[in-house]
Amino acid sequence: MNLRLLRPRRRDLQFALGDLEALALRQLWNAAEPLSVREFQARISKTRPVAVTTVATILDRLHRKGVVSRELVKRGGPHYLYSAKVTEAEFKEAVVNNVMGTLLHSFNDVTVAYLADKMAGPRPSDRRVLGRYLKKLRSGAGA
Amino acid sequence: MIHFVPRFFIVLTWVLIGPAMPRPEIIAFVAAAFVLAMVLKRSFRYRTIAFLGILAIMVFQGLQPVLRSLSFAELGPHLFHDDVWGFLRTLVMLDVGLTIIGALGAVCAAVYIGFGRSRMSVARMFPELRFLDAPKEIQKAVCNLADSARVQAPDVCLIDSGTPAAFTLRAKRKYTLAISIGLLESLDAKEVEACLAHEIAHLKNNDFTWRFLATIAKVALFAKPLSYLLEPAVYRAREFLADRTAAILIGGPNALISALSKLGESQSYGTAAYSDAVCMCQLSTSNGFFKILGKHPDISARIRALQEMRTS
Repeated sequence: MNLRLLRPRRRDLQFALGDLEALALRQLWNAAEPLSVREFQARISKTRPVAVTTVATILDRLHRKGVVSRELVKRGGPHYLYSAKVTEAEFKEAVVNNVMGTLLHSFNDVTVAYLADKMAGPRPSDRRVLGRYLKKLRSGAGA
Repeated sequence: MIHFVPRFFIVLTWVLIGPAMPRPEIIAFVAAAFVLAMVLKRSFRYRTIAFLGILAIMVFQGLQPVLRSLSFAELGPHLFHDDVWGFLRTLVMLDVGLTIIGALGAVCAAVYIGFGRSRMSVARMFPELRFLDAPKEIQKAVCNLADSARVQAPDVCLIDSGTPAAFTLRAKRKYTLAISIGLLESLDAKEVEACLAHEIAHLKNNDFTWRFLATIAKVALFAKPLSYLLEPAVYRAREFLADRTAAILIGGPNALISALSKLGESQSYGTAAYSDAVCMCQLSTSNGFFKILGKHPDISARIRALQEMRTS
């Protein structure tokens, strides 16, 4: 994946993608089968009215970023069928990996100290996530 | 002030004229390197470089006496006094010098455009793009449009890209019309035909010649600020004219207006900007005053011009 993290103030997918790109990627994850640009525009325009040309441009950008894959169909006029290349979990992992990897590479000791500090007194929500992670680890070890 | 300005010009003159007078042994070395490159590598790029290099050296060599006779260095001393006539004379000399340099540049640019660039293949000009064969319907539509415009039909190819784009360029001494899959899948058949007609209109109006002349004029007059406004103005005028011709070719501006408005909507999300090609529409980030430096007119201005055509 070729992601540039340019929007540190935005949350969720918008952290790594533009608003419309994030919307498009969500649609692809929800869709059962590969979608053409026109099908895509029909779906997306329910929530947000955009031109087909815009959808085509956005999906092309996602393709260049390596997030979606596409297949060229010649029948009925040449067009692409787009599908997601990564799952939501894989995408988020790649983003976190990208950020944390950069930090660990550039400021190793500070980053490690920061993480250790955070883990020492986690917030309730963090504690829940950590609990789930530990449980997963234990069940993996037991099996 | 007058003490400072001439000094500035002397420095500027030396910066510009100095490199134009290379020493003979350097010329011999560079020429030998080019010839060697030409003999060893028979690929096209090296031959072009060698040809242009030798040509440039020949021209520079031939003009050396001219440049010497200008003898900017001798003009130097009196400029540091309030010698107004000397100052004016220097300005004129500088102008002459810059024009000579510009003319040399124009010759090189003309040779490059005429013999170098136009003989490259499309795939070589855009190594990052993948080109496919165009579908039969598109080729037929281009042939029909070319027939009605009474121009030779260009080669047609399909760009493997999802971003809507269409452009024409001269490649391998033939005109090639390229259209992206993104354009085909996001516009309907009428609108695609309008885009093709716009590109054919560029051929009919001899826009490659106009662009060539505008570029050469810009290079030749590079020292004149006006030349930087002239070239984009020519480009924009040709673009409006191509829209007009296209509307006549397809019998009315409606399809072109709807195609342009659709392309305009996605423009802010990035339109492929292919340099050195006559594009359907380009990403224009400039606004206000800086529009006069843009080579492509505003989509909204183009739509307005077509709408006026509809009402008149």
